[in-house]
Amino acid sequence: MTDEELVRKMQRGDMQAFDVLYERYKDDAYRVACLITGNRADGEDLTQEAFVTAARSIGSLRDGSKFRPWLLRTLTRAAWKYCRKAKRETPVAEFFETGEAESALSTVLRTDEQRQLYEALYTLDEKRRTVIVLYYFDDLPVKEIARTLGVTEGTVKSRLFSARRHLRQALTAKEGKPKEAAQNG
Amino acid sequence: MDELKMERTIRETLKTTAEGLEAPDTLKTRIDFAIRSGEAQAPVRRRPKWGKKLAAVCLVAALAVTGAVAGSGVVGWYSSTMLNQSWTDFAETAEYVQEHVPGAKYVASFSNGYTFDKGYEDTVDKRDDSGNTLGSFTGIMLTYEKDGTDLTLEVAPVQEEGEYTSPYDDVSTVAGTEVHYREMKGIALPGDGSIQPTAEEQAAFERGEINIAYGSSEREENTFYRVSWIEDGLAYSIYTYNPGTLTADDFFQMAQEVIEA
Repeated sequence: MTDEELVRKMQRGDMQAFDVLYERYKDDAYRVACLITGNRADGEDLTQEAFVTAARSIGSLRDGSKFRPWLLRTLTRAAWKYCRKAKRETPVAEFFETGEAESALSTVLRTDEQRQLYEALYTLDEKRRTVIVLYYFDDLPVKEIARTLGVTEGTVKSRLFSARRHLRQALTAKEGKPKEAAQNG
Repeated sequence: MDELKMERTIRETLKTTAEGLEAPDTLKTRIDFAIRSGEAQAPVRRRPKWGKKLAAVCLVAALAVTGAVAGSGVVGWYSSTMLNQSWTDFAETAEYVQEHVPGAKYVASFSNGYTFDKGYEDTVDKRDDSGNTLGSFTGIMLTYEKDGTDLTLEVAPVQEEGEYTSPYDDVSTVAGTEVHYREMKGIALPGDGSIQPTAEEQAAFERGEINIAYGSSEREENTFYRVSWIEDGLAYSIYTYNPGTLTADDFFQMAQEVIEA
């Protein structure tokens, strides 16, 4: 059954249709949420918030075939709010010093380069990080990201360009340091 | 690091990080509980409002309110429906209406072919400008469908601070009742405040010329078509954003069928 048909059923009150949509997109949403926030617990909270909001506001979704981008949009907005709040409460440096994010997600990374890039990713602001996640992880084209985030394609390109430059600088800086300093930095 | 390697490293890092992640089994239980309990409640249906003040929905509209109402502190009405308080069966809906909105009149279908699709309990919270809920009331919404288009019949107890007419209405007497009809342009914006109306839109809203509603996923421009009346302490409206071939006369005819039900 297509997303459009399932959304239509949901709008008629059929919650089994919601269950099918949940099964279809739960992992996609959870992975994107974890990557944006940097840890599983917050990823779980945000995934919950996105699906609950989707269930409650399904009546406002006119084109059911757009359920996935609509869900991701809800999720990314919730994620941005979370990131801004977390930033106010915990400085990024302190966040990483606790090792919380490291233990949660990045232990699977195999190379120094990947670990450095991962760390640099979380020095990006949430909007640029979201674009990086949607483009490189979710493999969405620029046009689709723009539609999902409700911004222009130019804004997406600008954020991508700026994020890439930031990541490159972070990696280059690490490369330029002696190995021991890089590991401690 | 060259461009290609950079791109590859970003992609591999993200995919490696996330590839083993799966939504925990407990998450669905949490979500179901949140939906049932009303946690993180958000409006399910965006609906048009009656008059100038009610069109405010989430906006501060106290300036448009009469003195008596201003004293009440109410500046916005927030409407929400619950998925677990809805019925696809007309008899179940009728049973709910009899108990919670006594005296309300409704029909199973209209002579023009629109047929009952679903009923919802509709809870409206009255809030002050700090978001505190000062009171609430419960009404009923029945949706009807025909050829892929739908419309809503809404019935709720009349509220003393409500503005139920506007100077832009076409007024007609139907079956002895004064019935108002209006086609109102409006915009719908996300409820999180990420998109704001323009100054021109805000001014038009303050003049009661357009509706501003909140709760959509993105900015939308629309027109809603509504016929409305008050009878025996209940406020009725039949409305839609997508009228298909319906004309103003058709709306008045549907109002008559409900009034005579």
